[in-house]
Amino acid sequence: MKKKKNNAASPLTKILLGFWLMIKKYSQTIFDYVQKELNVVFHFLSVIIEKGIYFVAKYTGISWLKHQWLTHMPSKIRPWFEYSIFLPFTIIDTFIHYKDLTYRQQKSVQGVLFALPWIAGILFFFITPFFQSLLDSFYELTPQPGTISRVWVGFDNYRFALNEHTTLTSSFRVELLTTAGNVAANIPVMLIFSLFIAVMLNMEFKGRAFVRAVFFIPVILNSAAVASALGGGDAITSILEEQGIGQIFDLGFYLTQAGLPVFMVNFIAGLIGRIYDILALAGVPILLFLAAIQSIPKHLYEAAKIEGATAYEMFWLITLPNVKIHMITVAIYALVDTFLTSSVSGIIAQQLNNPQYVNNHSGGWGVASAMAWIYVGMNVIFLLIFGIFAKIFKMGESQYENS
Amino acid sequence: MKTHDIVDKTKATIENVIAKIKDPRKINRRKKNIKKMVISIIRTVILFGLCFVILYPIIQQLLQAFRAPEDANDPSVIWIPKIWSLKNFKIASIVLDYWRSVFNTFKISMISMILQIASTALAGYAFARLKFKGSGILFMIVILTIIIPPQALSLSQYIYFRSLRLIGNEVALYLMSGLGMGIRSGIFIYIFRSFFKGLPKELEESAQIDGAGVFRTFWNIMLPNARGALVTVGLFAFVWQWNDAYYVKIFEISTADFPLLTMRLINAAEGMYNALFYTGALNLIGQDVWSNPVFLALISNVCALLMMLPLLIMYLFVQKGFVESIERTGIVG
Repeated sequence: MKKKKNNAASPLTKILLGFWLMIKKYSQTIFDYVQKELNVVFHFLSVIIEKGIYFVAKYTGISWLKHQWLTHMPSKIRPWFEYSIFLPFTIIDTFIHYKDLTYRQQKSVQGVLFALPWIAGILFFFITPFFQSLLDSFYELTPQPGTISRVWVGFDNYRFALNEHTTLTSSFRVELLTTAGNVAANIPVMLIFSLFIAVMLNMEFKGRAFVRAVFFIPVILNSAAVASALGGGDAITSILEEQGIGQIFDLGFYLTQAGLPVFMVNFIAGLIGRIYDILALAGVPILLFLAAIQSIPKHLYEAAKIEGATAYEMFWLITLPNVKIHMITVAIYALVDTFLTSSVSGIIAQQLNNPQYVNNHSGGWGVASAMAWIYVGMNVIFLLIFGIFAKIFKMGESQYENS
Repeated sequence: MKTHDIVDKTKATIENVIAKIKDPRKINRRKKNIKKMVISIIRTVILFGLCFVILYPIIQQLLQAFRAPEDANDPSVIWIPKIWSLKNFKIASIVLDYWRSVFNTFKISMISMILQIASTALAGYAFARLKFKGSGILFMIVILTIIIPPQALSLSQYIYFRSLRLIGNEVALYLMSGLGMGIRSGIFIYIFRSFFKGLPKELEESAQIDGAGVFRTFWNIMLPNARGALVTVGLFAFVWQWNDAYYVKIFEISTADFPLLTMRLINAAEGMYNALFYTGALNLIGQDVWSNPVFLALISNVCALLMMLPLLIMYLFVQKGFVESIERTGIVG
């Protein structure tokens, strides 16, 4: 029995079949078309990447990259893209012929490229807040539901901060002046002390790693979180003291027993009390000086030794001139750190947190900004003094610069 | 005869000794040895004293931490605990959610350290050696960023990040440090600048004569020579990010799902009883213990110690990075 061929296909299958045939017929062209489109897209992408890398390579001088991308440049599409997307680049290219620039100009172009991340940071995160806070200091800011109302008050905020502001125990002006006095007293001591300790830690002796680790502890302890947690530690010691067992090592007691006059004992005890403060502040400078000393080339010392220099001479003539350039860094660090950890910045933070309840003076945020700007002004004055010192002693310059 | 001999011999030995004493070379050597001895004694005394000043409170706290919670304020115990126990550490680590928060803090500190080193080293090199028009003014801005207190800027920065929808996201921190505006980035730029300035110019010039571009000079010549600066900046960036409570608080990064050490520690220190209650650590101890205020203060101390511990361990490894500088042969600078 012959099987009957089913010629009567349903319309749906017919349509499907037709589609299939059509696809089969034109598949090659469709495929070609898609591929072509994709090719264009890929070209587009690759050219963007290539051009970008080419540009970076050109101006930063990564020579192997330059070579690689120059030789693989797609010649067909290149001009089109050059005149559309890369117009800014091409403008730069046409106006600044990098190869034709002088050595100094080339360096300055590269300098801008090197500083670019930082410049972007300044543009995004610094400029606006900076001017915002500067403006705020001349306004009376009162938070209203939904918005903040601003009233121009001129220099009133500054006047208030300097003359009228008081907290429970002191005032902004008093704290500011005390901090300034502390800075002036501490910085010379700290410079000498930390350089001295750094030289000592650089010598060879047993247990050096341990001692260096110990001097690192103040750097770690210098944090708000740890300080707030160790505030509880004071509670412990005070309770222990109430029980009469807190002070095991009572220096003052021993000294008075030894027959020293009371004012001497007080002086020594005060000095020892300050040692810890100085140590806490000196942790960072010591590490900075240590790194500076270790970046001095060793052959200088070897040559000096062969010539018969003493350790003292080597310190004055090799170590000190090489470390001199870092003294300003350390001084600036000490200045900023003293101010940041002082009660002045505490008052500013307090003013920011509850602007309404200080002296019944509303517009506390404006006062907080004004305080911040007075603080900055104080720092600038100190920096100018440093600058004068640096000019006199030629401290900020490298000894290699003029040779 | 015999007595004569003996006298002769003794005379000879005495002369010998005198000659030895008077020998200028030996005098020199002796002087040197004495000098060395004196210096090392002075050094030992000073360093030991300062180490004592630093370590005294910490040792006290450590020994208190090892006490059993029951005798937190036992008046008969001064230094060495009666019963050694690790229970305080256990409770503190529960309060801090220790392992998770250490991991998170480590991650954030590590990434932002790398980003900060990258951005500040580039900027520092630009300011030290690649002078361009206006770089003096830009450097003034660097100093401004150092001295302006973060409180003055934080409000606007918060608003800015809120408009980017990055509040509560660690990316905000990475963005700040990657663009050289992180924690004390200005100081880092300053450090790098002074280190690069301290290197002799001949190094660069010889590299450029050999055909190296600016980037290659920076990467292959300047960075290895400024290793001291790299290690120091890396260390400070890491530690300050680890200890940072300010930016973390403003950008609201520490959450229950993403705990950070500093915020945990501050919250715990502000209300230790609540922290113990909510983390379920109260069940480990009896009421007679947790109603004791000294015990609560003790736990917050232990928390602080636990926060410092990873940094100290890390520093012990890193301090070997403070080794002698790389020899720069061929240049007499």
